[in-house]
Amino acid sequence: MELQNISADLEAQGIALYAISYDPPDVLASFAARHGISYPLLSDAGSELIRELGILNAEAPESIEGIPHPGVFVLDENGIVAEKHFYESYRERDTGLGLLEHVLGIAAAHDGPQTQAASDVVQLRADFDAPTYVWGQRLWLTVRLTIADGYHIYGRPIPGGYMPLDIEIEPLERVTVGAPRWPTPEPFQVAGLDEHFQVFSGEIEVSLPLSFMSVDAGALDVRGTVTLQACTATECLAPDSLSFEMRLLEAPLVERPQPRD
Amino acid sequence: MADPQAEMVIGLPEGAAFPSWELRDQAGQPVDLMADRAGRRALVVFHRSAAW
Repeated sequence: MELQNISADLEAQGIALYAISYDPPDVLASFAARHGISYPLLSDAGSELIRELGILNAEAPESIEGIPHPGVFVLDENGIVAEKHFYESYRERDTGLGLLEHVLGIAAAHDGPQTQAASDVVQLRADFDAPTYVWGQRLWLTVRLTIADGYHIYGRPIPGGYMPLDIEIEPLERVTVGAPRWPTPEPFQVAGLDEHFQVFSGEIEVSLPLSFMSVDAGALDVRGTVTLQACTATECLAPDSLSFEMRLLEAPLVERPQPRD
Repeated sequence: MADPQAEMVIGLPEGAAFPSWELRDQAGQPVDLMADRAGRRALVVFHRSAAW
């Protein structure tokens, strides 16, 4: 299981891990045994804590009444909520790696597919944090760009007539692409011009979440295009695009969820 | 349909103290989150269900 994979990393960082659901302890016991889980699975049978915390999914069908909205609380050393992320659907969940990197900011090895592309002044490397997807899972696509010395590319906001860095993922059925997490650009001004720019230079990283709601769709080819315009302090190259493609395999679904919309 | 990926602003706010609460673990043993944490940072993950 995802969280089991990161439990050692968390322990090494001195972070305690707890997973809470509304299942009674015996259901948790058989789940832990089947999946080799060693971290605490805690039972909030009756959903009292879930209600106390204000995360009950009040819209859930009667058959699954009592489930929480899925999400995480990050507690600091004093037990204060330092960060939280909750989602609408009971289907949604982060991968363990996604939690490590995007919630806790701990770098982890990605073991998904990778690819590369290059233009004259920009090199692109893209990867997924996992090789497979499964129903209800969110994977992170990371795109790293290396911009040649002396060049910059534009971020937002941007004056009219210039092309900002953008990333587009070709639509796939039952796959939702979330908003990209852009790095913070730096202000830039060309001598003699009134226009104010936000630019990126050197090595930058953009990540975006993809949620998979397909079942039995098999391998999916994820295609994306990065568009950008590279400039020096004195001249701009023509707008450019870099395309990439990576194949994700579907992991077998151990237990297919019963509730359906 | 609402965007299933959208983050919801719900639950105990950032800056609030997580309640001291006793729950049973997979071995049936009582675990008090705050005591068990023993001063460590913690990641508390809420799941739909282990049964499905």
